[in-house]
Amino acid sequence: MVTLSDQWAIRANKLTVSTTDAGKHINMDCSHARELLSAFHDDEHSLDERAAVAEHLAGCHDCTRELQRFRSLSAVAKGLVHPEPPTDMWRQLEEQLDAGQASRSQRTTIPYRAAWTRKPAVRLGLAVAAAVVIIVGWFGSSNWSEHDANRQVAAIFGGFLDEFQHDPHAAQQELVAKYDGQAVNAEQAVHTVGYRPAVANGMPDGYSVQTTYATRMPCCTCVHCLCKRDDGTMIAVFEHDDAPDWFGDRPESKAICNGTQCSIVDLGNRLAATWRRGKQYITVVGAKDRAEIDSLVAWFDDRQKSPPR
Amino acid sequence: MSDDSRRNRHAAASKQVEVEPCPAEGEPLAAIVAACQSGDHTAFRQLYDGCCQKVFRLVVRMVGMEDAADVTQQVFLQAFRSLGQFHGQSRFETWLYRLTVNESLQHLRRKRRWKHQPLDWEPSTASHHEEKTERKELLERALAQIDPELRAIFLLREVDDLSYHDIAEALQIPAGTVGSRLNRARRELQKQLSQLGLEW
Repeated sequence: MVTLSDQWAIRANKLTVSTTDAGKHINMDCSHARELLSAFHDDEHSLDERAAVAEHLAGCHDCTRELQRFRSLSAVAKGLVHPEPPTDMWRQLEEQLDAGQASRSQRTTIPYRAAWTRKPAVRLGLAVAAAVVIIVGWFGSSNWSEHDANRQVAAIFGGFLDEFQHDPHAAQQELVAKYDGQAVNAEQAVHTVGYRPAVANGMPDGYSVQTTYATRMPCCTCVHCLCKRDDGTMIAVFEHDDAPDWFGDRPESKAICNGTQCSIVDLGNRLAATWRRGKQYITVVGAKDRAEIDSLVAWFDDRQKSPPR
Repeated sequence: MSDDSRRNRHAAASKQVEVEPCPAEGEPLAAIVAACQSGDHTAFRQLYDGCCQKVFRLVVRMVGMEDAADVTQQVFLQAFRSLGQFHGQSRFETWLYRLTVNESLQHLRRKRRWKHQPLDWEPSTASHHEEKTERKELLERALAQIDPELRAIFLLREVDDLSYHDIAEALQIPAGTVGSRLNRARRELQKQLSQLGLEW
């Protein structure tokens, strides 16, 4: 009997199936066998596929040779010697945790906090005195501070900003993956962040909301929304509790947009802007120009004053 | 886990297989994680002790020895910060591997060590020129040359012995693509090894 998967394979011209007295017999060509070779080597096949690949290998020198190379590679990999972690790494980590603990806001929900708040004052004193920026790779001499923690977030967000220029969806997914984002609608967002996010009231004409996530970034849980303009380009809207420190050393300026003070960051060919809206902050990434920022500030401000029913 | 024990499993690509857990001294990892989530100080140390070797050895080959300790600490900082968000939707080890790979890739992006900028892999301290040692060193160098995402998937399979299902979870990719990505990784490594003068 020819199964559904066989039918697909036949349609794809990858398999030929003939019926013999012994039952179904699957012939597999090299291109298909090569696609399945790693799974065969790693024993991750179904029994039928495994049998089909094995039969192909029995009659194909090239594929057999490649499988043998996979096996040789695995054998060498199994013999790799693994370096041991530095013996004082826990101590380094402990100091960083202390330093971060001393300066982190009360809003952060880290279960670790309860234990470390009881540390002796001498550790807090060390943490306050420590102001060394992390030197990559020099693990014996660096200590963390809130400044360094913010630099880490800025570095991660910098990756988001770089990716956003080329592939906004991929950039959003990276943040979602990194900070355990959850897709939310308006009601779910209220439950997650404790307020009705601004984008729940819609976006101006010319924009359509694509995807919305609640993303647990180190500062706070953000509502992160990707919107598409009518011309197909994208803009990201973040809503969050704390003023962000995401942009690192990028040039930043202050401006009044529609009567609201904004912080505007130059991203090269686009802008990012942050302003306070009630108890939250809104940050947009990918604005084309000041005029767009002005119109978005006006829109969200108007919606706050007169929310739609 | 030996090759034979792995091959004795009759499995489809979407199967779930027990991942060898991070060793914990006399206590299941799940219990340690739960203790961490309730703020138990000693549990954090236990979690670190149980998992740091696995994390470090993956990080070392992802970002190089020079930066490995720093990135490993970042992984654990991130893990401790995010423990409240771990609700057992995946195995803890898989979740930790995901953090490890993400931090490593982020680190490489920040340092612009991506795509066409391979790692500078420091040779091992062993100085004798046995054939096996030479092959291992060449593999280390080849690993440092290939795309970081291919490097990650190869290491998760060959060093950490993750099943395709767990690799898919750790890398947040469709399970059906793991095999094809491993094909690419293995072929790229062979190409690099060939350029380094090793032929099988």
